[in-house]
Amino acid sequence: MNTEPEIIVVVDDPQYQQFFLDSLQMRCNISFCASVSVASDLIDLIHPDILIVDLDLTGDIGLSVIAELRHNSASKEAFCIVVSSSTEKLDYTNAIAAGANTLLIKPFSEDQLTSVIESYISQTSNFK
Amino acid sequence: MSIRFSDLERHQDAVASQVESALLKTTTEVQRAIDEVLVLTDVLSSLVYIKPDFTESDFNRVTEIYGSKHPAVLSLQLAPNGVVTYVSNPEANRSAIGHDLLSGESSSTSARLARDTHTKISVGPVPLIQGGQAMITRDPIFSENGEFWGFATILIDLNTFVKQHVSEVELASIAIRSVSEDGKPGEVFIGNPDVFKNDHVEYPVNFGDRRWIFGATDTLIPEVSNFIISSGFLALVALICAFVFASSYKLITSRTILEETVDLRTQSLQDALEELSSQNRKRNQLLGMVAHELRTPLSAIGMMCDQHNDQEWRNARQQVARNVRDIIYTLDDMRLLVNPNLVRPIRFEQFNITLFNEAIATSVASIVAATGMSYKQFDATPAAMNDLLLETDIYRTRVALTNVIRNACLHSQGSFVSMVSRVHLEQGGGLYLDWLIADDGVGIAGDNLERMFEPGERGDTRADGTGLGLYISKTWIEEIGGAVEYRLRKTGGSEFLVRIPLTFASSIEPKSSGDDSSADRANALLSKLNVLMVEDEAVLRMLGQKLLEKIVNTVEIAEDGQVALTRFNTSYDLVLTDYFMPNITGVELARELRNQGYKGVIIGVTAATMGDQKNEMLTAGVDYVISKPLTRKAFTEAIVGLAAQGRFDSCDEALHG
Repeated sequence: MNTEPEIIVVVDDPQYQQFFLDSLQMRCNISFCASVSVASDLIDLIHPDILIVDLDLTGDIGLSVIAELRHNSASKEAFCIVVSSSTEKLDYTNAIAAGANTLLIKPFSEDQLTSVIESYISQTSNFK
Repeated sequence: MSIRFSDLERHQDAVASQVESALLKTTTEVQRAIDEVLVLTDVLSSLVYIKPDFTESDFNRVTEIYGSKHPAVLSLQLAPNGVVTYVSNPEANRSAIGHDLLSGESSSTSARLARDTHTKISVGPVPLIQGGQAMITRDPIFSENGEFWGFATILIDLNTFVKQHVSEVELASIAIRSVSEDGKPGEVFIGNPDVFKNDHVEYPVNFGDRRWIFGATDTLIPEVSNFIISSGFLALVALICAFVFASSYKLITSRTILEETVDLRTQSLQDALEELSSQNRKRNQLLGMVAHELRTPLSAIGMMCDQHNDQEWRNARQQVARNVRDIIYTLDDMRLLVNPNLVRPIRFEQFNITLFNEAIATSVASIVAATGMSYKQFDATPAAMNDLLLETDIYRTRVALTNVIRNACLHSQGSFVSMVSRVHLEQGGGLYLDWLIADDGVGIAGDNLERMFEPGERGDTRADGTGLGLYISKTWIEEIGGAVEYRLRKTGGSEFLVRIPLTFASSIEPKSSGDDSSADRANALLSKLNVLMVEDEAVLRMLGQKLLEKIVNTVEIAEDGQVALTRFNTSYDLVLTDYFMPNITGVELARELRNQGYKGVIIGVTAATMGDQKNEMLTAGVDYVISKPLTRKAFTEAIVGLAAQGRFDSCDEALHG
């Protein structure tokens, strides 16, 4: 059980939620939530290995939310993928500074998503 | 006169078997003596039970009477609330008075273990200040209402005890060692340790919950043989003597055999008696716990029934229903424990994850409130899943989850419990539905970790419970292809995982108007039905009648199977019958009706949700079995299901015709 990566996906678009679920083909646990406040609670409980945050959540959320979620000690070690449809919002330097490990600009393919996740997993000794 | 080698071998075998049988006899005797002396703690417990307000002189009288029969007993003690207050031989044992067993460094672990497991715990051998070594046995005493009273303690001088029951000659070739808790050989505390290093025979003896191994060496075989070889001629003399005494010898042996037989029989009877009394104790313990589990929800119901106005009563109704369900769960648990062969049949039903989680929150609300824990739950499944109907054995899953949450509330000693439902993916895309239940309590560690999923296991907890919850949860979830697992949380506390295969309902019915029309069809059918209801319990009969009158055309009632048969005619579209009834049971009634050629629908109602009763009814010609209590929902579901199978077609036609 300890070798199951824990993934939290903060995405409120049901279609994108489904996309994440369908794309992943590896052994993992995947939790979805549609708001930043629930995300904080889930982070406390689950201690995610991977945190995926969609900046297109309802309500004007900026990169500061990444910093907020990363501030939690339970997510400090997590690999954080930030996704957005807007290249403006997702300025690379600022996103990394806010705590993102990598960025994906919508629309991205299943392959793009899985290659980012799987390359992280393969680098991490926890899941072997 | 010469002795051949084969004779020597045969002789050695004979001596070895003599050593073995001598050791068996000794250990049997020691075992009997141990069991007899350990009963003294029960004698002290019974003093507390029979005379809760006993005085010091009562205590002294009891210990004088029993202590004098057992010279190896150094001290008998009673420790109310764990504090040693009454001791026998006060001159010798005065220093023990006032010692708090639950906080003292050397005694606290075993004392707490004894208290928490409700069992006698023995410790030792421990060295004595005055020399020698002792065994200490503590027996926890509980008052009638299950509260911890204190301990009865017995101190036994080991050397005196062994000398009393093992002859000096035997002691020379015997050694005794303890066995550590993980089953490894412990220290040799009586006799020569070399006994265990050479060829030897061994027999185990139980000192309460501790185990001793008696070893006896047969190294004296060669010496004995040499003696016999060198003194061969003496054997001749012996032979003559034997011949002379042959007749008297025969008499003696037959008498010895007779005595041995009597001894053996007595021993086996004693063993059986002890086994029985140990089983009795266990049963009483379980019954006590179950009684407590039943009393709590029942007294809550009693209080709710005292609500004064209608509004209060309406509010209390849900709580009453919840308490009743808790009682039914406990009773089901008991049935399962009493007869583990009863396997609950797997029954898949459709469910919606949001509603299901809400039902869990309602189920655990009372225990959450009672324990003052804060409880939160999250649904972290994809949003689209809320529009889908899933399929599982709802009852099993609900029981497993409520058990785990209940456990966390009662035993974790933390401040919060949280539940998250989410999806687990297997390599290649296999889907599971997970519930993760986390708390910030003390966690489960060490031995308790390995035993936590065993029946009757209650860990190091002071709280009430039957200790069945986790065992049942795990067994039931595994039976539907899932898993229940435990791990410590990274930040402390416990984390339970309940995982079931994620199955989408085969036919997803749209929630739109189609639903209404099928409900309309069901209501239309129900309103045409003429029902004969057979129930021997007056209250259930009245409730059932009231319920059915609202939804079907006509209801007639019969007080039992016999009455039902005399009242029966083929105008009934449906016979609804109880399982357990005097005179004629539900099964016999169904069989008889089918024999008479009745083609209508028979629905059975049974309180026994497990076991063969359902199958027995179905075999007898019952179409469908509803678990008690009979509710409108369960009844309607049964009718809709049977209508879908075409079981009401004939009555529909007849009505239309």
